[in-house]
Amino acid sequence: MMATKQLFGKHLLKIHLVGGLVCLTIGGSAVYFAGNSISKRRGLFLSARHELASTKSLLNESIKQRSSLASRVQLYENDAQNQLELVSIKMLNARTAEIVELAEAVNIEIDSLQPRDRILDQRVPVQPLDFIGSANADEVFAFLEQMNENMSDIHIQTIDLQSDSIDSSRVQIHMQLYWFIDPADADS
Amino acid sequence: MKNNPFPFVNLVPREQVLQRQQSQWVTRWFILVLFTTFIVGLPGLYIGGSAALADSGMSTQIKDANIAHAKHELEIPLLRSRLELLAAEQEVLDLVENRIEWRDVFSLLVDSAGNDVRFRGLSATGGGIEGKDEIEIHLDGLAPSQTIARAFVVDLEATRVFDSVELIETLREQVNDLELIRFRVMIKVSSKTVAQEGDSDGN
Repeated sequence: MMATKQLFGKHLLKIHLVGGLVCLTIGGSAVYFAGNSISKRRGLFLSARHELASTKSLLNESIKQRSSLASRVQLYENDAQNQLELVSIKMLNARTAEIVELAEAVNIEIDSLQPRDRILDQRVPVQPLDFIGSANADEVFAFLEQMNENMSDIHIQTIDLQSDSIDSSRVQIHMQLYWFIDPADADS
Repeated sequence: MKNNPFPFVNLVPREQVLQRQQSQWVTRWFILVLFTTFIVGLPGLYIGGSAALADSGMSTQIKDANIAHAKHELEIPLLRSRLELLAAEQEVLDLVENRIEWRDVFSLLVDSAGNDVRFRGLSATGGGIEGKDEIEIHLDGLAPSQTIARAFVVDLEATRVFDSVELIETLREQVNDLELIRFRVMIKVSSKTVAQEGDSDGN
């Protein structure tokens, strides 16, 4: 009784109250601060983990898409390596010059070689060329053979050969050539 | 104590006793506060601070993943357009291969004609851009007789290259001092037949 009276005596109550309050404040603040920080960190961690997972999923998707496209591009490029190189429409003058050179090399007299309206509404772009000239029938054959060997991207769409006379092997030539141009520059 | 005949008498004044008690308790509480600070306060501060400042490394991972994703997102449209272009080129190349070998066709006509038949005109239309259209060849020729003209047509049919060989008309015509048979032939051939012919030649 005496000890209790001594401990909780009026004159000591304030000291106990202040001491207990300070201890509780320090302890409570420390626990609250630690708990709050851990809770916030856990929230941030979970949200970051979710964000990371979704970002990685997007990344994986784009990697898959990219590698699929890249392998298809690679396949096409490998295939194209051993194939004919398509010529751009920008090379029209050079191309017609080559045709003229080829024709004159087999003694065909060229009257005209005229580009017509480009065909763009079909499956592939084509540049028609009208070829008018004259030569012996054998020279026409030689020209067709040369065209086949050297300019396989040019097809003969129509060919009209008319003989000048029964005694002569000379023929008037009128051809429409279809030049399959490089689709990359078809609209230029 | 009970046997002590002289009871103790506290001669210290009561104010002094109370002051001493207060002083003792202040010291005890101060020690307890220090103890609480060291045992609970500082660890709590440390744990909380560590949690607040801790970096799991995820932000760096997210940043890296975002950068890589953005890079791929930039590359994908470029690859797509490159692929479209290559596919378009491949389509052209496929059609380019599907060509009519006019030289072979004309060689066949000339071989069938022999020495007696002469051509005055030849008009041919190819298979279109895709090579799917039917090929038509119109021949205007001269032969010394009906027999030779018709034999030429029969020979052409016998080659089995053409789908149809039709003698459209024959006329008697005076050419210089010669009386000849003028004939017109229409030949039709599907581009498929020509392609097969080309393949078998190639093989």
